Amino acid sequence: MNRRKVIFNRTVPSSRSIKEREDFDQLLEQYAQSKHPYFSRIAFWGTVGGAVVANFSFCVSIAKLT
Amino acid sequence: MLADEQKCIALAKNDPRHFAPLYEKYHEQIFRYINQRMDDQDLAFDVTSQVFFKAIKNIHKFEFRGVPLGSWLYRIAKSELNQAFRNRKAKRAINIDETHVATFMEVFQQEESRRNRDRLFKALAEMRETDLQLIELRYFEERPYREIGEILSIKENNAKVKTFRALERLKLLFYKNKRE
Repeated sequence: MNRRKVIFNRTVPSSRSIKEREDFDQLLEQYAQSKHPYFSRIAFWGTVGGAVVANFSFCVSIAKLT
Repeated sequence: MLADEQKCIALAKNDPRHFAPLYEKYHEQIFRYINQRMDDQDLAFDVTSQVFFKAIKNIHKFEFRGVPLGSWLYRIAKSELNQAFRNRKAKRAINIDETHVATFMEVFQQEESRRNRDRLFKALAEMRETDLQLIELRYFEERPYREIGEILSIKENNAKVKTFRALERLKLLFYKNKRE
């Protein structure tokens, strides 16, 4: 099956319009984010913290029952 | 010029902010390379961003061994494009204009008619991906064989021979469509 599309005489974007889409700061930001390992992220500690609290309350409730 | 580039690369390996001049230098050409092969311009910008993200992330692995940074970026772009096609995010497109059609008609010694143009489009769409890449790099983007070799990781002479064979195969497909 051929998935190629032939486009004839498509308007070529100008250098100016391409330049307008340049965003080096965003690239740096993306790079900085990728540098953080997962365990140093808030999402990780939030999940771990939540799990610890849930475990603790579960153990306390079990202890009370027995 | 190349010395400046090497200096920037060396600095960027320690501090990514020094990658800025290289980003400015190559952004447009990498975008055009990607856009030429895609049907969606916005997606082409996204893939371009991804190429530079991969480049900045892996710049510490780049070693100058006669292959300029530009060719390294084209190789990343090629791989990111293939990834986008595999994920079915984008459709492989062939962008062709009147000048290219005229060039092929001259090479095939055929008149420029609508019927011949459609035959050419059909032949291009039927080509093997490796052949199409060579045709695009040489005839659509008018790159020298040295650069084609660097992008495709082959020798300059090999690029020349392969491009010639790809053109021959395109010619065969064109004539096959003409007979049908």
